[in-house]
Amino acid sequence: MTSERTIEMNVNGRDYSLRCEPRRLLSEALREDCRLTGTHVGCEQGSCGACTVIVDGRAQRSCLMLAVQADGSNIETIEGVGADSETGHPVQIAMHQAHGLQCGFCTAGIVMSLVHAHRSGISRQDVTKEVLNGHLCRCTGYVNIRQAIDAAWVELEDNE
Amino acid sequence: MKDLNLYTGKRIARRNDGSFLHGSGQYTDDLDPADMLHAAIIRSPVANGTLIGFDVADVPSTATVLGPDALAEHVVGDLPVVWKLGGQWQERTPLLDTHLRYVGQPIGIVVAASRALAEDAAEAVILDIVDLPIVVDAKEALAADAPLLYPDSNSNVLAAFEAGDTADHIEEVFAAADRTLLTTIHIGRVHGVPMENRGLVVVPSPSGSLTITTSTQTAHAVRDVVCEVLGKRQNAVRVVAPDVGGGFGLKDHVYEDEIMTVIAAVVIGRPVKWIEDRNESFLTTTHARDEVHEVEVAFDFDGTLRGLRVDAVRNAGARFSIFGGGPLFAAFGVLPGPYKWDAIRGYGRLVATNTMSTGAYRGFGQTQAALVRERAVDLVAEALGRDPIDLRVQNMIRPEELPYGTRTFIEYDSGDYPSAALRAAELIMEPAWPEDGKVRGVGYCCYVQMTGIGNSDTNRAIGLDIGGFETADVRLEPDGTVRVATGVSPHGQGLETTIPQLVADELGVNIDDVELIWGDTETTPYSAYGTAASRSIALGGGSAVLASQKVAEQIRQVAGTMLEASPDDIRLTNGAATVAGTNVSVLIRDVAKRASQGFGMPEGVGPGLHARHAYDPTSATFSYATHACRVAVDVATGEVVVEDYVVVNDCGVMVNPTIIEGQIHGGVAQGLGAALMEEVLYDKNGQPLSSTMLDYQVPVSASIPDIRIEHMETPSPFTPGGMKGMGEGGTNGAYACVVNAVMAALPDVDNSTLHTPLTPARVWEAAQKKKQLD
Amino acid sequence: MKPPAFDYADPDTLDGALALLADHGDDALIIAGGQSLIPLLNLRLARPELVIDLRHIDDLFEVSVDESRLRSGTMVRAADLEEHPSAMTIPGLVPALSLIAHSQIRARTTIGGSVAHADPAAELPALLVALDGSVALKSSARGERTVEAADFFLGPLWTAREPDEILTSVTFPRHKGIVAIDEVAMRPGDFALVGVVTAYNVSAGMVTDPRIVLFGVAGTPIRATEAEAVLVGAAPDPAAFSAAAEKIRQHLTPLGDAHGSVEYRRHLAAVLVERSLVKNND
Repeated sequence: MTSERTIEMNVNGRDYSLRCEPRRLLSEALREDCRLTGTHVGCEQGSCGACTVIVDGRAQRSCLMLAVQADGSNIETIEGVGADSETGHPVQIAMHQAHGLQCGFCTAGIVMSLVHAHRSGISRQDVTKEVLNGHLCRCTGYVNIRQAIDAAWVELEDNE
Repeated sequence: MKDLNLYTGKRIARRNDGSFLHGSGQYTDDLDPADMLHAAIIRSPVANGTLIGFDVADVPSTATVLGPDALAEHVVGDLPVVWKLGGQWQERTPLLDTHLRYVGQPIGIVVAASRALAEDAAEAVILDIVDLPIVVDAKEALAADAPLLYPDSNSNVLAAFEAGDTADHIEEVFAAADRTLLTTIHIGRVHGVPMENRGLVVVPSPSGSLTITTSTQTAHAVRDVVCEVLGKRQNAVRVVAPDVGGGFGLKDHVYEDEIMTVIAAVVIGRPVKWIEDRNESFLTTTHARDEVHEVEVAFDFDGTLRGLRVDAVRNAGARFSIFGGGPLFAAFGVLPGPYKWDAIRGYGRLVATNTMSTGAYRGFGQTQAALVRERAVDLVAEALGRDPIDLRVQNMIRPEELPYGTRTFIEYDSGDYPSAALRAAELIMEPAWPEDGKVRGVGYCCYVQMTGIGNSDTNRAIGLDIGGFETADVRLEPDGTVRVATGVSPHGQGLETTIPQLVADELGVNIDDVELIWGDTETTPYSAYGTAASRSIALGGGSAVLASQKVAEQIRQVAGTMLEASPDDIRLTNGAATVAGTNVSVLIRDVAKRASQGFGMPEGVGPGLHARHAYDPTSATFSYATHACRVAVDVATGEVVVEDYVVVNDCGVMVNPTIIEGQIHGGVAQGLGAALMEEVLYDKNGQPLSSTMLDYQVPVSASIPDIRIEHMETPSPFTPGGMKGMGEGGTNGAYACVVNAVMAALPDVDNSTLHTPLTPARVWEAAQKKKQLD
Repeated sequence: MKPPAFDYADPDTLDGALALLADHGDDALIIAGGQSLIPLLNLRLARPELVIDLRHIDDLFEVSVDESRLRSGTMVRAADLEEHPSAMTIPGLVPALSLIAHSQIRARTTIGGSVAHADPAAELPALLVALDGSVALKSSARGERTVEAADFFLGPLWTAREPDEILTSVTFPRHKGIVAIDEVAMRPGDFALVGVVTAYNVSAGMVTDPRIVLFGVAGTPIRATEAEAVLVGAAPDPAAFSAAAEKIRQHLTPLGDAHGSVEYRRHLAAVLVERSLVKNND
């Protein structure tokens, strides 16, 4: 009864053409159809943030979007962040230097939110208050992630 | 002994971050072998009932269903319980049972081309169930007329045991003491909530061998259980832990749904993947705690602690987990904490109810012990009008009194408990408290943590079916790079960095040349635990140190032959074997090459540079800490904010302080969560009320303040390298110290009972009950 | 869990969407931001045959402002309205929007979706009631109509929307005084245990037109009319605010659940009302 659709999306600068059932989530399409498994699924309810990607310039939960709704969209996932640099994006460098990750499962979602936040000109204080609280991490207790934010924002402010 | 310390003790940056930061990690759900199918599990919708019908008539033919009968054909045994205590009759727990005992209990499995299709097919299975009366609360399950979960047994008590002093002796101590106090502590049920749910991919081969990739903390134990229950030969089964997104003890168990997935793959003859979703995880991945402790403390007017007596009932859930009554038993073991007591007694009962099993979760009972004891000590301090730290230090075991045998037959090894306590007390008082009209309190927790449980014979003596050793296998490849195969299994703990730190120092090589091999039964030595129980650095690291020392000696021997010098004069530093006091040297990589050729090997050494060492510790080793925190309580709303948090921590010789601090941060967050917001709830029909991450609330960044940590380093007298375990310590400390801080902020409330978590509603309700003044 | 199978339509016009809805009735569900619907689909708690996506219907993305109100098309994202240059001219609107979940949810969740979903603990429905706002709806069969906020929210997740209707816009009037919104939640971004919207004017030193709306305490936002009555004509001082809070204690019958008993919610509501009024006054 459910008709598949062909959708076209651009992910990390590369075009994909996919056949999807309407019920397929964007997170599934990215992970299984585009073979980009860096985006992780923790809850399928939008509560944990692990699946966060950037769609048409907005950081959002890929588990709360149908793949068919992404037809025509530009998407950035973790695989595309810092890919053009030898050392990575300042957020990635800062997370590593601050020991801001342990098991790594929530990390991609956090990096995407932080990359987007900086691009949007959100201040250091607001990132912690408005953006980081939208991510659950069970390993780090967040202390070092906040350190990473401080370091990355200083670095990014210096470069301006 | 190592000739140079380049890495140990240093804040070496983690070596395995790249894949996680760039999205190239390989977690279980990332695997996609050819021809793979997807599974969904059919689960019990009721908390207690008998399954009398499993009708698959409406299931599409494109799906494969295996119900109880089809599954049973492959099962030769039930799930093992590896810790046997206290008259426990349940040595194995049901793998398949038509008696459905908890909501979510796996009944069958459906396999289809996608998970969505498998779930569609699962919905078409019609279950016919006869309802049975339900009991959810442990105390209610003790009543004479309670529904029996195992009708063949005549009670719901799965085990009952005592620890410490005899009832008579502690009664004498209580009678002789100046005063006694009573308190009841309800410890809420919690869930570890790793960010990655469970899952496995099973790949069968035509020859009958199997490869199972699974999100586990312990590949070897998974293989043990799978082979035991399915009657398979271990040398034909390979279990691999890929990148694992957190475990916290939950993934140290093996579950019915995982076994069903293995059977499905064998039956169908194609790879089968089953990935748990979050909803399933809340229902059927191991829960923890859910205990009621009746606590009595006896003391003298001068502040001397005399006795502590605990009667505890723990909700075991519908069946024992693999660790049986272990967590409650472990709680009793460390009940004394860092204090001297004349008597300690614990009496515990594990009670079955129609809920998910409670099993291992960070702390494994030591978290509850800390709360129970530190609450008791705070009540004593309050009764006597004493400063809580002052009273604690008065009663502490002095450094010179260690090693110290406690009333629970445990011997603490080394440390300076009073210094840690006094320093933490100093730290928490600065900066000065804000003057803004809010009610504030400071709470403390002083604990001693048993880590690296062993040795193997001691384990056996306390009812464990598993030993206490860890093994490392160190090998130099012909090009001089080093391969360390270990039984421990990192999933966030940074062992890929810390064990190579130790090995690189022992061998005198660059850390970049050392690779940790872990998580694969094919390539690693046996471990019953993997990474769990705060063992990995003490035992995994200790065994790696010993194996490396053996290899270092081999290097010296071969180098000595090559350099025509005595091996005793050879120093291994910076990738070279050098004759001491000269610049005569040979690169270690050239020694490795020579050993791989077997040319001119010295007597008894080589060819090859390779050693294995199974380290069975003399004893467990004991880290300790004092945690202190300050909370602000909004009495009108019950909201609690943890504003400041300090830890003075001693885990022996530190391999990597940054990694240790990360473990403390994460542990504190989990302890704080359990203290203030986390609780798994059921309704009276055994239906779960906590099944999403909105119902069950784990801390977010705003919940956790910055944490100030100071380290002390009293080496372990046992561990090669002097390390003590500490991974669970943060939880042990935070749970008690946050609770104590809230109670300290509300000195006028009736604190004779306590119920965690201290949610805003509970804090407000507690604040309505004023103390009865004597 | 994966959603059950459904068909999907993303019409270009409102009339196209309405025609589909008229055909399918209760078997169709509208998807706006998806932040409430997709979680339900992912638990198989919603089982539509057809999901109708409004994302191509440009008219639904318009925001218009005049001196008395802001009208938001129902597909406007919460994040976009929060940043809209005119949003600040509607007291209460931006604070209410910023309390919704987290920034990553606000990037997709829509004004219309939040109002149509009518979660009892949601902020926008309560604000709408407090401001005496309204909702515009349209159906193929009957055309357009407007429903006042006071009449729109009927019960938990239940509104006056007929199955063949789509919300087209939500109107937030401009209150002339200060509007405050506050809530107690376990963690920032969680659903409120109890929330309150308060507003009033002061004329000749006396309170006029007070609004006190509670959310998270019942199946719909509750207007605390007894508490409001106490304030009318009173001087805006602590005594009056305390008297209003006392009325909450006397008259409110909130729902209790695992996260808060009836007594606790009642008490919390009174505390929040008093604090909100005091803050408004500063």
